[in-house]
Parts: sequence; C-alpha cells; structure tokens
Amino acid sequence: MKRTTPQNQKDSGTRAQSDPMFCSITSALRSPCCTILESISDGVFTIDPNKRITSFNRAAQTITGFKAGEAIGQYCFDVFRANICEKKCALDETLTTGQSQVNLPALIISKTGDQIPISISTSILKNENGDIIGGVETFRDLSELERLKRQLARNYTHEDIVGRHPRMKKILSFLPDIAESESPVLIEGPTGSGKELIARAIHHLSPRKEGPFIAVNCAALPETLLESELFGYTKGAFTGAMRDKPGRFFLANGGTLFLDEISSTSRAFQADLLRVLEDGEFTPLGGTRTLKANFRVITATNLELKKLVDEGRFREDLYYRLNVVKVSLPSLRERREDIPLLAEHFIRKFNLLKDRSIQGVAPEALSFLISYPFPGNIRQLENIIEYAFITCKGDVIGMEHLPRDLVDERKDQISLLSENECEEAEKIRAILKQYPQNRPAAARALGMSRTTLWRKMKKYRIMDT
Amino acid sequence: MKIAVPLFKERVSPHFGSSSKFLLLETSGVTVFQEAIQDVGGEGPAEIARCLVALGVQKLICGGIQNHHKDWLTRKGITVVDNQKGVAREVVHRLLKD
Repeated sequence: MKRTTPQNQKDSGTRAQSDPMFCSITSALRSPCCTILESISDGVFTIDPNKRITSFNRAAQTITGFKAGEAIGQYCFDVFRANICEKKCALDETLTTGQSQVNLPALIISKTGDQIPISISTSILKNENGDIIGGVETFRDLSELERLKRQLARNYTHEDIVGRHPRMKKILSFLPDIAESESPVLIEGPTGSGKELIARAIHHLSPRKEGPFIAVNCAALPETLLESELFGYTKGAFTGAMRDKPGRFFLANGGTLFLDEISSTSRAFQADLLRVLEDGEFTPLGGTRTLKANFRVITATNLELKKLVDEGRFREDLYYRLNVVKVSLPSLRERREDIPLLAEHFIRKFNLLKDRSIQGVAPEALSFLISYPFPGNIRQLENIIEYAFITCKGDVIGMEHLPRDLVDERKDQISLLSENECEEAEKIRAILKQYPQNRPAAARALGMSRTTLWRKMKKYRIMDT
Repeated sequence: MKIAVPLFKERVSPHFGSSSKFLLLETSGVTVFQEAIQDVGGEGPAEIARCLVALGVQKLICGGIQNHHKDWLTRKGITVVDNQKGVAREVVHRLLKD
C-alpha cells in the first residue's frame, strides 16, 4: 500500500489543480482515488463557493447527459437543471446553514430532454484548516424505481410509453391535448401494442386524474355478466344477488371508464351503452331508480371498428359516439427501430424486479429480435425478455437464452413471410380470437372459405382458440 | 417575432416549468424593438406552455425542457431553442446575431 507522504500529498494537490477530475474530495483522500468516485453509480459533483462546478463524476455525466468538460466551470444550476434549483437549492441551504441535506426528492431535465426523478444529498467541503471551500452533492437516479412503482400501482403516465418512432412521438405529443379535452377516445391497435397504457396515460394527464380509472375487458365477460358488472344490480335482481352491487359506471363517477375490446360486445349491449353515454343515466339490474354518473369513456379495440360498422357488426351511432378522438397504435413490426429501446426498458425493469444486473442483449440476439415479426407485439417482447432472465445466468442475453420455439419457428418459416403475410397472419389471429370455437364465422368475417382459412392457419402455424 | 425566455433572476431559467416569469421580446431581424418582463401565469410546465401559446409567442429560448413539452410547443407552431444558459438578454442577442 502506498503510504501518505508530504510528496504524494503535494502530487495529488497539483493533480487536483491540473486535472479537474481530481477534485478536492479525491485530493483530500491523498490518492488518485478517482476510481472510487468514478466506479459508483451515484452522481457526485462538487462546487466552489460561487456555485461553479469543480468536479463531475462519471455517473453524474451518465445521468445528466453532460460531459465533465461541459459541466466543470459552469454554474451548477445550469448543468443540474433541477426543479428545486431556483426556489429551494439544497446546496445553498447546506452552504448557508452548514447542515447536510439527505435524500431530498427532485426532478432534473437531462441534456436530451428527459425528466429524471432523483434523490439528492448535500454536504459542505472544508479544507485542511477547516475553512469551507464549497459543497458536494450526490444524487441517485430513481427513474427505474419510480417507473416500477407506477407499474405496480398501474399509474402509468406518458413517461412510461417507450418509443422514438415518429408515429409514437406524434401520439405522445398529442396526449396532453387529448387528455385535456373531455372527448371520448377510441384507441385502435393490435393486441399487446399498449392500448391500456395509453388509456391510463390519458387519464393521468387529464383533469380527472384524481378520480378513479375503471378498466373493463369486454371480451373477458359473458354478455349478461358484462351488463351486471357495468350497470350494477340490486338485491334480488337475480338468483345469487344477495345485496346491492354498484356497477362500473357508478364506480367510474368523476373519473375515466376504459372499455377494452369493445368490438366483442353484442349489438344489444351496444344499444344499452349508447343510451348511458348519451345521457349519463343508467338503472342497475332489478332496480327502479335511475342513477347518474359523470365519467369520461375511453374504448379500445384490436380490430378496425369502422370495418365492423360496414359489416353491420357494430352500431354506427355508437361508433360515432366513441370515435371522437382516435388514437391508432402501430404494431411493433411497424416500429422495429423501437425494439432495442423496448428491450433495454424491459431489461431495466426485470433487473429491478428480480435483483439482477443484466447489461443488455448480444448483437446476434438483438438482430434476431429486430427481424422477428412479433405477432404478440410489445407484450410478447416483454415475455421473451422475462424468459431470458430465467435462462441467462450471465450479463448478456444471447441467442441461446431466447425461447427455443421462437427461434425454431423463425428458422422454419416465419423468416420467409412477407410483411403482407405477417399482417394477414395477425388479422387471422385477431378474428379467431373474436370467434372462439367458431371457425365458419371466422372464415366469413375474413371473407374466405373455411378451407382457405384452414390452409392459411396451417401456413402461419396458428392454433385454434 | 415574439420571443419568450423563462427567467431565473436575470439568467435563463435552467428548468422549464420552474418559473412563470418571462422576458418577452418583440424582434425584427436582429433588432429588439420592445421588451418586457412579465409573469405569464400558470404553474408547472404544461400550464406555462399553454400560457405561452395563448400569448402568441413564436419562439421560446430556454434551458432544459422536457421532450414532450418541446414537441407539444413545436406542434403549436413555437420554435423551441433549448439547452441555453447565461444572462437572458445576452443569450437572446447572441442567438439573434447567429
């Protein structure tokens, strides 16, 4: 071990002056121990009494997006850009009172325009004579933790929507306007493309954000149950109705009602729904008293609703009532450039959830994922990454960690499918889901014979539902 | 052109949404022919952005701004020049010359 001598003290002092990374902290430790500060995941920077940055470690650069060369010498608020800088600067408080601040929450804006939640701790820096020579601030990136908290509470915001594809960026930039209006929203997009995420983000951006967000999957409930779920019922309305039960319309009062898979509802139900949406009034099953509820309705479908209207399977009047604002989500296949970003996002999520530290996806596996058609869209990608967390024991997800059937399937034939064929396969899957156990009806809806449907299912390896 | 700069004392506010106090300037080419410091109202970035649109601002010069607020303002026809720092008037004059 190197002993501290007046000479190496002097060396480290000289180095601190010549190399900005050797700040007063590292000099004080009497060794070129920047490795300590450089290897930790917390951001650390120091300032002089004039609030000019004197050192800026590697994590600080990663979190803020500013290089040390861009940060050092600048005012800390111009680089750090936290929401507390102007009104309640933690370092100001520490320099004035001498008191350290611990784990203060704040939001910073990175160089690339991302808002990052952090926790800040501050302390004063003194020289060997005990004179205050500035302050030190450490900060921890809480984005993933906050994101995870929101996911667990399902309180998604627009910040949880990952995507840089122009169509996604356009949708995101419209969300605040959509949210602010009270208009009904229709979200169209293939299964697993994030329709509920968008619905929740609209709710959390809207003036109704303090109210409830009530989600109902219309395809998951038989029609009679769906009616009683939405309208509620009174005691004795039917066998087993032992007490009054408020419906989802009532529960959504003051908030947002999200009706997923609206295309799977019957025309009779659609007529009832239209009546409720038109005057906001409804009568629970078996009840005599009309109730009123004030909610905003957001609907979602994985089928093209207009086409269903043209085919007479969806009421035109309800379609126009629901389709005041339409959000059309692209399939993952249509925004392949977002796949690396999404893979990275899910890796961060599962690293936190499963206490792992997987660094990323190997180039070959990533290239495979980018070329894969993803009939299950983002949900399928998430499942693939979750599976890889089981099979991968190292730091990087490789081809061998991806689900075997996926790789084999791709090898066998999917790679030979054109874009049009992929779309056709996806459409068949959606229609089959719409008509479970009823292949003739599915064939009719697809405008093809039963034999053609069977042949295509075989070709695309689609299993009957 | 109507330009707005959020202020932190006399400097460009580093965090869009922290300050509703703005330096508002009317310019023509490189000439500033009218300027005022005004509280545009609103609290938080989304509300302040709406106030700027209502005021007919055409260009926003600011420090850090979240991408989606920048995209929203751009879609409303406001040119956003972000990542600026320094004394507000000096920054405006430098950018006008550029």
